[in-house]
Amino acid sequence: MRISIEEVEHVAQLAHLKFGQDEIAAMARELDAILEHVQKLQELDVEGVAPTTHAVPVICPLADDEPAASLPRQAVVANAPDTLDGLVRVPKFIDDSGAGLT
Amino acid sequence: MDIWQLGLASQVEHVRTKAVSAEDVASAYFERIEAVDDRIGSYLRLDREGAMAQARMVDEQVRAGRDPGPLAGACIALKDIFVTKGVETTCGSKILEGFVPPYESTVSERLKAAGAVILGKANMDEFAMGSSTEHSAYRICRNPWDLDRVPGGSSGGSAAAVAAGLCGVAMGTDTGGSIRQPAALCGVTGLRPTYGRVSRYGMIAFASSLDQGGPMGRSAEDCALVLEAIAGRDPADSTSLDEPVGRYQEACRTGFKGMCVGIPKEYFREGLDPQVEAAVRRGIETLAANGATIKEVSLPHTEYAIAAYYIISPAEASSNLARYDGVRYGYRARDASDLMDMYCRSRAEGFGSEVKRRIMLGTYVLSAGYYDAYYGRAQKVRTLIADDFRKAFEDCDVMVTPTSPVTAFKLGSRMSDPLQMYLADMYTISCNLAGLTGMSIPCGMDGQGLPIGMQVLAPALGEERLFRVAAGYQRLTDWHRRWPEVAQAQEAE
Repeated sequence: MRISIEEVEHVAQLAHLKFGQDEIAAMARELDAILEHVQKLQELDVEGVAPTTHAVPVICPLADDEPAASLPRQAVVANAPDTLDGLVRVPKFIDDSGAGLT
Repeated sequence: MDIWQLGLASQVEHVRTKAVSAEDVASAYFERIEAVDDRIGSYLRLDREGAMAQARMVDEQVRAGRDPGPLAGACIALKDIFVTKGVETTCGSKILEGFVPPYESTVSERLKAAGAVILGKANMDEFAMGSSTEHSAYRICRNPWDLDRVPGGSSGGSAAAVAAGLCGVAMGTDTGGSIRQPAALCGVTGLRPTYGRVSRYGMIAFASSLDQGGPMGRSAEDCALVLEAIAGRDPADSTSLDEPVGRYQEACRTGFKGMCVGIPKEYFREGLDPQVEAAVRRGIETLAANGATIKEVSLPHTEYAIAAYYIISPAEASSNLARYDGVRYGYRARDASDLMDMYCRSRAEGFGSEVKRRIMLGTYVLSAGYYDAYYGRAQKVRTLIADDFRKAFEDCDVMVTPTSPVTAFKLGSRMSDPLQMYLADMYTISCNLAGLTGMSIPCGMDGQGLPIGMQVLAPALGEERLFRVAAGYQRLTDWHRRWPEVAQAQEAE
């Protein structure tokens, strides 16, 4: 196996995902098959090859620094699952002593 | 002939000359959608009210003698990846259920400004990840040519809607083949423009260095009409190209005489269905017999494209999809014990299996210790693939290949093997990696009556070359004019 159960659990944590035990095992198998396939890239000599980060070589233009209206707050907050006084509300993440919960 | 059977260009002409009203065209489509789409599943939701209001506005302009725009009354299905102000946009995902965007995508904005009527939002694989539309979180989409088969993906709803006559033109997006592959499987014409040719503003991001929106229609001519209206620099998308928009409709009339067509030998090897190969080779013969020069070319790194793509695209996706956390919009898990629990459960419950698989893969290849071996290397291989094309295009104007190695496969047949599903994109992926433009046009039928697609590729900003070949070919053939039985059913009644 190219990827262990422990690694899958670690990656899930990094990705903010949660899986049951069965799902973890299935995910490990599927990722393993894909990683096996992409291993093919190791055959190539890429020494000295520049990476492509942009599909079409263009210089990204800078926008003029002109103030413009953004979307009205009400319209943006309207999609939030939980709001209070025009703010987005989330579950607790700091305990009463001021320490972070997670 | 009914109005829906006419091509888009002809419908627009009818509306502009008052031969028929935009309202009548839109009504005809809604009637058809009601009669047929239960069996196909090409739309996720309709915007009847918005569409009819827009159609009436177009008709008023025509009556008042004002120019109603180059797409007057053109009825369009918009892949649900384009955000639409006031109309729910889900990207095929449960995590965006109920999301009503406060702004409009540049593509839909420009379509409407040109007089087009948006009928509704088309079905798709969740976040455009898939090659069969089976990863839609909402409903199955079936291939109009055989209801037991997939329409391809991820723009499967868009392709099926065009094939069944449920819109004039549909908009799709293509990150690794998601316009061209479903176009091939459904027997329609689909164009993936050059990266940056069409604004990505308001197009929900999958893999930002590869995503591009484009039209899917019944002919190259119809796609040209739409592309002229939506292409061009957009200040809201800094990666949109500041290059003059081509004369695509004119290119459709020019024809391909004197052009050199390259045939990459690596695209005709194992894994290619013999019936698909035979049809594409006949297509190439048609081009040769009518004034094109044919030349064999080589793209030596072809076999590495899928591997590079399935590192780069999940890596970019894992980053783009970090925004779905249950805080500002979309699905939020109930009764979370704390913020982290809310993040993880909202994402675990809101995303489907394929999306999670790609987020996991992308997170893994970007994680400490693996970056150079996977993502860094894949970006270098991307350069090698682009160099192959640069060299090959020194010897030819366009290339012609199969679009998909197979015709439409059975629903469910590839769902248990993700890698098998990924191989459906083997001929389309390189175009995105190398920054090219590509089109799929119908070029035959297999023994089971399923459409076969031929892909035409051109270098960056070579859309006019594609239109010259595609429209020229379509003047000589009638594969693109055929309708599946399901489209004829209503006529017979």
